[in-house]
Amino acid sequence: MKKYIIKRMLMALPMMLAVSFVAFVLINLIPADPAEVALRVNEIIPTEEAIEGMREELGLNKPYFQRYITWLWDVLHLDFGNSYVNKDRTVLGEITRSLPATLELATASLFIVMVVSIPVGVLCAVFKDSVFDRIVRIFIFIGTAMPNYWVGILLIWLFSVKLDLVPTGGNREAGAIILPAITLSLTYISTYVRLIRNNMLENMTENYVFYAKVRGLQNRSIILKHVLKNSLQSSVTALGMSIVQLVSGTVVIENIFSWPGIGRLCITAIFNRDYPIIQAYILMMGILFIFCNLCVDILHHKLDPRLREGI
Amino acid sequence: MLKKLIKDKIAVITLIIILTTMMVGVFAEEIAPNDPDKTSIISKYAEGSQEFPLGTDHLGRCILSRLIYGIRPTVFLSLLTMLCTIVIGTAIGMISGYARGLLDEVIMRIVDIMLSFPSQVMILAVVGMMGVGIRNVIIASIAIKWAWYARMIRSTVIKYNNKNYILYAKTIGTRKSFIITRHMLPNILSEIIVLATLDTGWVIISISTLSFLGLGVQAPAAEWGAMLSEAKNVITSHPTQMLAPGLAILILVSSFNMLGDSLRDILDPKEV
Repeated sequence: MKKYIIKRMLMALPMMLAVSFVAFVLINLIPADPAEVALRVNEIIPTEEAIEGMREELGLNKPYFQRYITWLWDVLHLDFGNSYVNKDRTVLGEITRSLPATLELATASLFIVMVVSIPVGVLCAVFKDSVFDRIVRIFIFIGTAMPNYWVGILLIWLFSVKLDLVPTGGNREAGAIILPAITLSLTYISTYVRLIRNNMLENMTENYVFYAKVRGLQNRSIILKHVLKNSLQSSVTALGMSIVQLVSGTVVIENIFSWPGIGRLCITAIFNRDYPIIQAYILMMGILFIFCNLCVDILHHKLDPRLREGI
Repeated sequence: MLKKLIKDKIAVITLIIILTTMMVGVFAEEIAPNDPDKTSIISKYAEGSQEFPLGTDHLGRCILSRLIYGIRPTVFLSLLTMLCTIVIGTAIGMISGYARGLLDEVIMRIVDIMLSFPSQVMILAVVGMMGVGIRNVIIASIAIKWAWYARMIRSTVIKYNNKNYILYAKTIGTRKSFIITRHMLPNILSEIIVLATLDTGWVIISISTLSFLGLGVQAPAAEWGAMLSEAKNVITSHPTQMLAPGLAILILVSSFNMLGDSLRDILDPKEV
């Protein structure tokens, strides 16, 4: 087990390097000169001299590879440079300021996803083809075909404008998190209900269930103790993947509900052409994705003894 | 296969919806009752009438006409995206699966890196770096999607590579290009079609989401996501504005999803 974890962690390192390289290369794909952009966003007239000075300041006149190493070294020390727009603000500061709000939103959504999808998925599998199952399936279908920003504004209209129960946006007032968290979780609820339902149905035809029935175990304990446990294992992988998707999915939701998180920071940065912030965002998401994958793989390994025999 | 398709009611209905939408989009000039960009301040937020069947928006533009013209960016650009993705993904996947060896290794590592970014982040990254605009959104969508297809097609090619008829074709000295186009492609085609149909819905949502955020299709061009973005600003005073474009997306995307599911049932030989 230890050997596997170490091996898996070593495998993650080159991936992280690759991700950092992509994040670095992307900023060099900009059609405009970064030095010129950095000057323009501060409304300095980009003369030859000013551009040259800015290049010097940003270290753009050095060879490509050297710049990558310098940048990587700084990043390892959590120095992402300064924002182009607000010169005195560091990128790290901007991100740490907005990250808690996003994490709060993502955690709330993850909670809703788990609380709703596990019982609904189980009920759908147990009462397959019943009225309940059919209604849920229709909801799942609509949930996957409906753009979540539309759901967001429909919910705002219903609960904030019409019924006036919760605030329309921001995160200062109590209850403001309810609507964005529900909107964000809806897509994932449809995915998980379907996943758990199908896994349960698949597991119910397995021999061990048949054996448990032969032993005369109660139906309820077969479903909760055997089938559910085995079905949830395969959902772990999907869940690990969706943590990153939840965090990155907040981009749209945060913009609708004016939630001051990292997604809004990123969109604002895109409009302002504030490249260091976009770069840091890409890097962070890539690393988070690799990290989540790592955790999922290890957890999967721990949960499923069949995978362990390989080593 | 075609017979089965005609028998499947859902497949036929969704296909009709999709094709009708496309035809309406092609003949938008003839069908739309008004000019989609013609503003008139006097008749803003008008109710549905003979002249404006679905009413008008905040600039007095006809909503129905804008919906009809909005088919063009929404549907045709998603189809264009899917077409490019499939062509690039299939070509690279075929080469990778057929050549194997070092080339395969290199391509697969690149695919791994592409897949290691969540798709939404990658799109934001490309749009963020290359600038706001629908062209960059399409490039970004293709840039992240091809890797999925390349990997899937590579594994299918490898699966078929050891089938007897391919081995026979190789033995009698058939050219590689002939084997790929005549023996491999027809086998893989059904899988590609199913996947592409299901993905088209995803691309439609993705493009409209980016337009909603203001990163994709730019005003004043009519696009469903952008229309919803405008409707959002008047949510308190004119909530009905957000109904039509949202419903249009919902119907079209669910049509593509249903068609994909039906096609999978029809084409999947395992089920028979």
